[in-house]
Amino acid sequence: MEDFHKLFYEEAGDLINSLEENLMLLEEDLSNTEVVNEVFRIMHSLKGSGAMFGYDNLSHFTHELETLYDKVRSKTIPLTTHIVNLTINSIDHINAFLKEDDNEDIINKGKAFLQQIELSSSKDDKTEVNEKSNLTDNDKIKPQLNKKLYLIQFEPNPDILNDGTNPLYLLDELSDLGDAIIKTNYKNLPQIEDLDVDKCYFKWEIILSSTESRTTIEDVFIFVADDSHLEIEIISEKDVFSVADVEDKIKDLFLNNKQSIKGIKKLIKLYEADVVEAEEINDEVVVSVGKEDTLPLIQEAKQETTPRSNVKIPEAIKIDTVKVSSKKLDSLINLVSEFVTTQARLHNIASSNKSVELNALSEDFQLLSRQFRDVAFEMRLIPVHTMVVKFKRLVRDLSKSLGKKVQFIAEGTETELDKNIISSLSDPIMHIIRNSIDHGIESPDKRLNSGKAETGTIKLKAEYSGAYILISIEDDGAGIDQEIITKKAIEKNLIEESAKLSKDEVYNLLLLPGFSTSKKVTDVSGRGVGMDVVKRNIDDLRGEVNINSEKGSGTKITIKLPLTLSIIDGLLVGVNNSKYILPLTSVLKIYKVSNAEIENAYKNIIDIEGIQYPFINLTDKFADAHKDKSVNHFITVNYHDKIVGLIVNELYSEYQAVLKPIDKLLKHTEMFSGASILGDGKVAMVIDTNKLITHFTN
Amino acid sequence: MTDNTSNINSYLCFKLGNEFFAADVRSTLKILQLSEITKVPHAPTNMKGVINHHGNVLPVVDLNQTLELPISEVGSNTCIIIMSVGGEKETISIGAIVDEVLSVEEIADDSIKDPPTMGGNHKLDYIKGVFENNDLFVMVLDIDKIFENTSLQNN
Amino acid sequence: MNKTILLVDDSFSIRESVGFLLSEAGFKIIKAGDGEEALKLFDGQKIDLLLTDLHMPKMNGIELIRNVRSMEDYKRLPILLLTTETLNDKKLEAKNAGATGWINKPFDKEKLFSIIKKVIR
Repeated sequence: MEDFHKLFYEEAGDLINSLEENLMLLEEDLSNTEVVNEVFRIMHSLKGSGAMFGYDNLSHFTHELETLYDKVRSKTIPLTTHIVNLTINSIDHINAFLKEDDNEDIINKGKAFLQQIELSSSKDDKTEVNEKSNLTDNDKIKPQLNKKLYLIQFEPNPDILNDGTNPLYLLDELSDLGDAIIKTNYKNLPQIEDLDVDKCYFKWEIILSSTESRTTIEDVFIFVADDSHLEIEIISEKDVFSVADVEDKIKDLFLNNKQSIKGIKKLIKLYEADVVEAEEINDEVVVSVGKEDTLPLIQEAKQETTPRSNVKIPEAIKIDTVKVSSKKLDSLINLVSEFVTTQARLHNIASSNKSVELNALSEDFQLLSRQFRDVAFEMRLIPVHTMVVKFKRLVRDLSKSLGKKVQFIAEGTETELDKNIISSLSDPIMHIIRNSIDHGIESPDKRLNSGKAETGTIKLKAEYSGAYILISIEDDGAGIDQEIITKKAIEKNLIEESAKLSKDEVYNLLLLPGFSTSKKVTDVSGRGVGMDVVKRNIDDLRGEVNINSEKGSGTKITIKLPLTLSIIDGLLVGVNNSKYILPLTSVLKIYKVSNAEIENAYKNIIDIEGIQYPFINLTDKFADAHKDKSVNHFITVNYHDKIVGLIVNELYSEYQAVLKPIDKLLKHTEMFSGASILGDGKVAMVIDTNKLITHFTN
Repeated sequence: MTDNTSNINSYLCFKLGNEFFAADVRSTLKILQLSEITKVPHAPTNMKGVINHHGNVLPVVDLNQTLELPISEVGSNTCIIIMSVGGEKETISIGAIVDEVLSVEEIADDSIKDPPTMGGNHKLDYIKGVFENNDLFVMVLDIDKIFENTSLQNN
Repeated sequence: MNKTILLVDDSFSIRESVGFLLSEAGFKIIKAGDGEEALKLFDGQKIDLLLTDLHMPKMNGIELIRNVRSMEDYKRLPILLLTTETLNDKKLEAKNAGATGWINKPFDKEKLFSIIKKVIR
């Protein structure tokens, strides 16, 4: 079972999230019994599953908490804020155990913590009796090498069939333990008219030769022992059956009722003298003799004509959500990507083929593949809300420890993001929030003095914007002092003294690597250490970070992320005999311009239909040996809040591009967000229009 | 005290210009014919572009240029060796253009000597050691090191 | 002929791991996350063994067992309770509700199969 511990690890993460959420609720309303039950259930789950998958110490730890909450829900002890706080703190220990269950340090810390728990729950008599299940005991008893002879008498309660027991299986199990001679006794079988098919009328006597201990034999009947008459007797400590002919003889006498049990016992005693001690375990498994005798009768009894009952057929199974392993989901996404690529190849072939039917089919495929792709990718989307619990907790803990009053509001958390992105976002946002509470939000006094409300607010907002998702973290704290930043940047040689920077540019200096080396963070009011790390993380996700602030009022940090990483709708274009892909979401309109117009353009601006567009001539910028001056297509694209034109030579078609990642080695080529493999096997670079335009306008 | 059983590793031997080099076979994945390389505008000069390898887009570099050796003309034996480069965090695949692939040799660890400390026109930190094979001097390249630095180079 | 086991537990990891072990052994496995969901799966479906957890949301193990036992088709269905409870009370309650037996958590592969073979072959 321990091989599956990874599954448990994931699940435990979810349980802990849920635990945190519930404890937050409990903090606000101690009387909420439903939540108390939930907390109990979560601890119970962690305890049980933890033990299953090798997290023994986690299991012991949560066992105590489970007991505590059992007492709370049975009203044995009252629930206090103190207990809830302790429970919230226990989460750190639980997480520690999850990471390293057998770490001495963590175990000791856990023990110390549990003592606190004990103190706060009134000391009750231990109502838990840690009973060792008979089964575990058995595992410890070694089978003795000597075969013994047992006499087992088993008379089950007639109603035994009602709880799903099948006595025959028990007899089978018994037979597995050694050589068994089974005799069925049908004394209690009534007349056919009085026969109740739901009752068991048989009893059995079994002579069993086995090396197993009595406990092992008792275990066979563990579920029915309470309901049955069971006698297990050792009639010989020696392996009597090893003596020639004895077994057959006894079988004969026993099964054919030729001798009473007493007589058989005596006989066996006589044979004991002949026994030579066995040196090895005889592990022959013999199917019980005589079982064939018992079967037909039982089958007859079992011949029930179960009438097609009038059981109400429940309505169709409606399961709202399905839990799917991430691995399976990733496989699915990979397959979808392959599917899209293959469809592109088909499309290629179809276009160069005159067949109308083929082309129509290819188009149908294209539509289908698009839908397929969309549905599959949607599966990877989970709401931002899942991250929020962690943030709430951070705000609560940090604000408390820093003596500040902060409330955390989350808006638009039903907005969905690819699950991979969500897990990558968690750290950067935690960082930003930490900074906000540390440097942004002022102390309650200071706030009151400056006319602000005592409690500061941090607002997390998530919303869609075109093909992007915007996540902003805004606080109403002290804001960032532009002057101080500029000064620091000059000190660190990040900018020239004479440089004239816009407000935006000043604040974004904070994202530069050079900035985070300051040890004394307090002299920069506003954002402190580590924003460059945040930027790096966001860059990895092909996103952008923007800082906006107003000294005295607050700071807002906006993260912009593309919605899906893997498949984009693109426009296939050609520049100087190479193919490139422009994301359709950025593309606005396509015009044709002449070479003359381009040459005469002043400061790279062209007038089209009365509107002036700045442009970048890719045939120039992407030049190598070839410089194609044939046709010029002017493609207007979005660039932040402006419109810019890109000039290319060829316009091929719309193209669903499976975005292939390009490794770190190519990272510097920021203007390409990836590459795509075309239907003919060639590679086309996928252009990130924002980054490209930024690159060429600097 | 000599250790009788010295570790023996396999090395892929190839030619760059007139010199001989080798790379641990564990770092080399495949050898490809020189195929169409898609250029990537504004890439560093030693990077020739990208290729499609089994559905993955791999960067291709000119190994001569990367090691600051004189550029070779493309010959009939020129090919691409796909190498697995490991950083501290992850491994990526890179194609390296070489002039000719020669053979795979089994070389014992103690047959590999330290690289020469003077002379030569190579970036010495990329050479892990040298060994002799059929009267030829072969330099063992530290693949990870070569590309660790290259990735930081900008235009 | 393949026997079908209905596995009910609110723990995803237990459903997956135990389910895997059982299907490897040749059983056909159906899974459910709580008693309510499980009960819906009993509409005349061939089920040869019910393995259920005790503590579950919506409908717990004991209630599930009671409900199953009240259905004519499943009166004799072998039912095993997966439980961490070591108190006899709970086990007695399970017995009274009609469970055939129980498997104590934590259990390993061997224990699982040694108990299952008591009730299903």
